[in-house]
Amino acid sequence: MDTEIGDIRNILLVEDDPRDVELTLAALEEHHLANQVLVVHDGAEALDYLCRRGKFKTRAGGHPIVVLLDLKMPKVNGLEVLKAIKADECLKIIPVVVLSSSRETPDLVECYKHGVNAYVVKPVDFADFMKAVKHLGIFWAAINEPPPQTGRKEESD
Amino acid sequence: MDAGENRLPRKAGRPDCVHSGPTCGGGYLLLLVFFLLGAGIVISGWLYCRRQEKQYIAGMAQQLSIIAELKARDLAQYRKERLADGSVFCQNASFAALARRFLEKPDDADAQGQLEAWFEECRPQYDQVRLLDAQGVSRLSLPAGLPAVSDPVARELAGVLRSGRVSFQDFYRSEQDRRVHLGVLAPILDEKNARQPLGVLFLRIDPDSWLYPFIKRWPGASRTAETLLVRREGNEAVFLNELRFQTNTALNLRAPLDRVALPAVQAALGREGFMEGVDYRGEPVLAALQVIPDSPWSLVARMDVAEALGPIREEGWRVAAMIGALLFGAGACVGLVWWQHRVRFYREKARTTEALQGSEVRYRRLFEAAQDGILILEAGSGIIVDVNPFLIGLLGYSRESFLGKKLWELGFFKDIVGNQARFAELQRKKYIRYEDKPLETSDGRRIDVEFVSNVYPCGEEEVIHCNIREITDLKRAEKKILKLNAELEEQVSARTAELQAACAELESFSYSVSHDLRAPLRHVMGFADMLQKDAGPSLSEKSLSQLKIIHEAAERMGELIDDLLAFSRAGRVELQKTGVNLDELVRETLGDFQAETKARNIAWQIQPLPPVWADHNLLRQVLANLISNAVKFTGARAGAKIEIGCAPVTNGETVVFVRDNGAGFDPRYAHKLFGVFQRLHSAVEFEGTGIGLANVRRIIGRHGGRTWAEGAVGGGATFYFSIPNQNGGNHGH
Repeated sequence: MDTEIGDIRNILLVEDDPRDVELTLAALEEHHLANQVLVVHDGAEALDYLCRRGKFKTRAGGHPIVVLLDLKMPKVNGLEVLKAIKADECLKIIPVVVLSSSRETPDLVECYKHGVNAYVVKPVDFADFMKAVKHLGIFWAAINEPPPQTGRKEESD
Repeated sequence: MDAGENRLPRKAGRPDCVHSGPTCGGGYLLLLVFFLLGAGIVISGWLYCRRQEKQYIAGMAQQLSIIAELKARDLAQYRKERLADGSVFCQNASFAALARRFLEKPDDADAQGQLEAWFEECRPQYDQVRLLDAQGVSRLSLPAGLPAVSDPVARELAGVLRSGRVSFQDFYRSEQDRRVHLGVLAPILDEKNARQPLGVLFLRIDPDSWLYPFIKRWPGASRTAETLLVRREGNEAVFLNELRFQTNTALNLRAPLDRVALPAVQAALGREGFMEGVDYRGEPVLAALQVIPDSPWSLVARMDVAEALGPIREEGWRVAAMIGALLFGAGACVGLVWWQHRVRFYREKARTTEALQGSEVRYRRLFEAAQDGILILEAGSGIIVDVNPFLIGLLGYSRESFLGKKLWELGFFKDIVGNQARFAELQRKKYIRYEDKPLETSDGRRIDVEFVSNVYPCGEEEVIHCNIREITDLKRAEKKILKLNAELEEQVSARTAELQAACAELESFSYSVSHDLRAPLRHVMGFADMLQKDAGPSLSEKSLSQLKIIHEAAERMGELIDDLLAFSRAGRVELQKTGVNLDELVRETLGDFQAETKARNIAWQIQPLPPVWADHNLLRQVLANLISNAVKFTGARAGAKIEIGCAPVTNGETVVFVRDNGAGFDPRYAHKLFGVFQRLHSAVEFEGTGIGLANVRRIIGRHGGRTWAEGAVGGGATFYFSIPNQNGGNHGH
């Protein structure tokens, strides 16, 4: 395992569009962060993962160090996931970053109202996108000190 | 006029009893004034008279005292002179010798002749002169042949013989002639025989000859004044002279000493000075008392009060007459005032009555001609006392069916004042108003009315005034309006729902655009870039160029989407108007362009701008769009000039312009400038999406302002926008 970033933490990416997943992972890969990312494809799955339900009933490890959350998703959308996390006493300490194509004011207002920790608009330009995701990954994985209960790589192994 | 109409005007008769009060009050007041005035006049007159009387009496007292004093002095002098007469004989040796010669030799004619000559000398003063011997026997007299002396004289004689001194024989009544006399007894002392009295010479005085007239004489004229002489005898005062108003009083009239009101008694008791008393006749008198020294006599100078105070009494009458005149005058004045008061009062009353009647006529007309139904009730009983013709016509019942009835007895009012309880409520509240209780007319129609009832005082009683206005048409119109309003409301809510649906659709469209259109673009660009990165070295020059075109096209598409979303947002966000400092806003906006224009030489001309009432953020977008355009279209000019200023304020709005000397535009296409995606220049010439000015127009339009532009190809362009002022903006666009 590459130890360039040092202490590795796991990241939960909630994204329904496989192309966006690919682009995001590609961006994170540039900094060797991609294999720390667990991808779920809709909101329901994300909540199952966080609450250890369904197919994630027996998963190992603690909370992710950050949840990267798309807003527009089938079944349970990003805003609902955000609300559920922030309404749960256990989960509310997990940092949530919304990654969205939308810059619409209502989206921004709603997310911040429900306690989102950051809101990143996915740039259309790929170079910009790469830059944004890269900064995001580095910030949350390396610079930010996560809340205590979140699982470290070593422990989850 | 029938009974009903007579009830109301009863008020006109009322003021009589009300007004009599003030009149009586004024009368009593005037009477009181008169009595006070009268009392003042009488008291001051009386006091004046008393003072005058006192002064006058003092004057009289002085006058009487002077008279008494003078008389007393004269009387004392008279007595002294008489005693001196006696002394002449008593101490005359030759007379004594002559008397002895005669007494020893009674037939000595010479001696008798000489004695008679002496006697004759005394005659003017004395009516009898006689010589008595030591035994008291009369020996010689003038006139001759007199009988023996009276008893009082004989008694006195013994004393004189014993003492050997001249003595005064006081008034006595002679038992011989029954007349009053007095006299002087002079002893004749014997020089040779140790001055033993030889005999006594008796000089008798007839008081009528001088003394009584002297006493009687009063200085000045008087009807009642007199002086009288008294002496004390035991417990009695004896009057010694004849009185003015009573005869035969000398030595006969006596008064007991306990009659102290009698001046004579006071004088006999030895008092002196002035007194007021009652005289022997029982008349009130003023008197001055004077004791005559060396004598038993006292003198009284008296005058009837009636005469003494005559002048002052007259004065009193004059004063009384004057008081009477003054009283009459005061009475007349008070009476005049009272009369004028009455006249004024009646005139006023007449005027009031007239005015009241005029008012009554006016209000009666109003009542008769009113186009509302009017009922007048007695507030206490609820009995209808008057009803106006309009109400009779409105309900179709006869006048008689109203009058004298109680309101709740009338069937058609059952909904309004249906029972006594409601009537009591009206009495308590003094006002009620209904318009939801229709009345039924005699022909069975139901009419909507507005029923207003007021209770108000009328004289001492209370009256209820009911106003009944037919509002059937009004109600109908009201119902129609309500129906129309309801329909309108329905339409509005339908339209609102449509609008809301449209808005929601727009919202979801924008949302979709944001999310769904951007994502594919990002993918196009992302994968094209990844392709170039991964397969770049193996691709041909042409393929690379084509990849670049894909990238650029996607990029442009992204810009278009962003601008379109911004435009859409500008139309949807809520305006938050505040006072905006335009100078500051322009400075801020220019700051954003600093990096872009640093390398260029642009001459900025920024005029001072007024404050405006607008949404700060949206206005900033407007300025940014216009400045961005100006910067962009002057890009080809060497001496670029951009001017920002404001046109003179007109029509309640502020007009701001941004002028440049750039590429300009063809004025023929000016109307297309502000359309969405409308461009007058090719993308090669000037980049842009064609959204900026459409956004400007939309934002200014939402502020109620206007946007327009002037320009010429190659001659620069001026873009104007107006913002209505806060209070005066008419929405002209």
